[in-house]
Amino acid sequence: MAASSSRRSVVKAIGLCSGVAAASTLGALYWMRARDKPAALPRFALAHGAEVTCLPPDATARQRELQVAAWLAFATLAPSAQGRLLTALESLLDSLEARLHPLGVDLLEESPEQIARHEAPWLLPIWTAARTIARRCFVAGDHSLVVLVGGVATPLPAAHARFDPFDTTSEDPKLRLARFLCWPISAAVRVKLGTDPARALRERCGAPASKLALVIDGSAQTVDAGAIQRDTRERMQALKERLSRLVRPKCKDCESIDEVVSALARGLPAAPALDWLELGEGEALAVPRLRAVSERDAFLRELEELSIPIVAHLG
Amino acid sequence: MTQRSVRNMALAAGFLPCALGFFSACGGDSKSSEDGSDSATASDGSGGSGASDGSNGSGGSHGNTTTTGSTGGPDDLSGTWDVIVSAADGEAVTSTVTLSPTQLGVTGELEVLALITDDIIDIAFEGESIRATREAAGDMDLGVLPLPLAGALWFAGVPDLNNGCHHRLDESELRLECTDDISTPSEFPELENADLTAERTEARNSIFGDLGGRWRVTAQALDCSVLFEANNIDVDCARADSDSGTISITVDNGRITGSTSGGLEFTAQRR
Repeated sequence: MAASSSRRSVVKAIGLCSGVAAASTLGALYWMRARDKPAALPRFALAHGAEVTCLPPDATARQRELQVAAWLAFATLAPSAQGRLLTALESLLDSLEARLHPLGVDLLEESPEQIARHEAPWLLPIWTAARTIARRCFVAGDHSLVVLVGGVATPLPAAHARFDPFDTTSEDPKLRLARFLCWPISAAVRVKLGTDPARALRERCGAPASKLALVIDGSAQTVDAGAIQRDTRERMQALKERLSRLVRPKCKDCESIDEVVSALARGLPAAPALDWLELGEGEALAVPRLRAVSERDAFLRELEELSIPIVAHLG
Repeated sequence: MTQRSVRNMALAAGFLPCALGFFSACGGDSKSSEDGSDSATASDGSGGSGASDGSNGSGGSHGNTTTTGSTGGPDDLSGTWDVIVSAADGEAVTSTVTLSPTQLGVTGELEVLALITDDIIDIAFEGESIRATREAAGDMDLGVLPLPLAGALWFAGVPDLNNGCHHRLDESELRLECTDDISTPSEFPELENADLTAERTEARNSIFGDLGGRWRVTAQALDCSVLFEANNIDVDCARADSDSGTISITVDNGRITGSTSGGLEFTAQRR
């Protein structure tokens, strides 16, 4: 049982790293740029009742979710953190390739499990926020309420009540629950970014103790892979080629990895990354970590310490 | 040690307020994350209605008093809680937990219902059930925890009530001894032949009453320090064959927040 659990953790962590790296690798290849004008707000609705739920996304929607999540996570990272992630991935691949080869011998000091364990504390909260903010539906555990995110290709059902996740003035229990469910959206703040503060903000996102998870600026929204340093793109290109050759074992525990890698192999998401988000010139969306959702003052204080001016909520 | 192991042993110790839905909070390796499915993931935007087996939305009733001294008043953790938990693959899973002195219900990825009286606790999950029979009453103050966990209880699977676990909790010690296999939800640790001891080594003020203070938890190849202080719980575990791990939990103004040193996070909000 323990060994099985450990294997699951390892393959998931590897999948996490692989997904983020693969997305960014593909960024170097596709160089997609925004052409679409961001849609007008609001694009949110809620429904409540005895048995409301989120329908499983179709393959295309699921693929886009993963692409968007991986892109936003990698684009958030400071160059040093991107380099650290790539180094970890290169080590993981060295080890995995050696283990998978019939004549290979894994001579690395650290096992894949150890590598994944070292990287998870700083990377997992970022990946969690990225995966969640890319969703189009959020449901309460008892299926009493859902929040839907509309888009250009996914209009909101007319029967559903419109919902402003950024309006914190209402204490209506349903609205309060709706805001809680879509936490990376409702708890995010729009900030003004200069060059130096942007760098500091990205570096802070990679600190395990930080309240910050994501920084989504104009280049992230427009899926501009050109914002990534050239040598990083070259490392990503090499990794992408190795990842594409990696034989992924068929097993229940590996489905998640396979899904991520397969989705990302099809390229970066079309811009804008978040079609409900409209940013002004020099603006970015700062998204807290899950555990910081209830620590809003501390989250805002961290932005203040970095001299990041908060523009406003998005609503 | 793995984060799962840290969480599992903390759960086994009965120290974490699992009754509050930390069943799922502690379940980073949940079934959903294993198979990649997620009922809460995005739909194509047209979703909003569909079949659901969600049940057990009620809670908060205050029936029988318990033997623990907890009264289930408004100042404790009784109520309905929405819980969001991150998993090792980055999925954030939601659950709803209803808690009162007479009932604990979890709906979402994990479905659990426990009906509580003075002498019997019936727990149903995943098509199975466990019955806890009280062997001795306890007068321990568990503070904001409205569940009758103090005293001595015999947990056994139904219908075979001969195999199970002895649980005994007082102000100074917790003992958990499992004589044979006992079914637990898949997100829970296997308790087969478990033998766990927790000793309270110092007292501190805590919203968890007589649990307040530092506890040393030991089991096979496991050594943990669990500190209940003010509105915080801090767990620090080491295991012989692996890395150490920590869990931090804060209860504050209708919210519960926590994280592990491995990057897992959770938050809960009272409805």
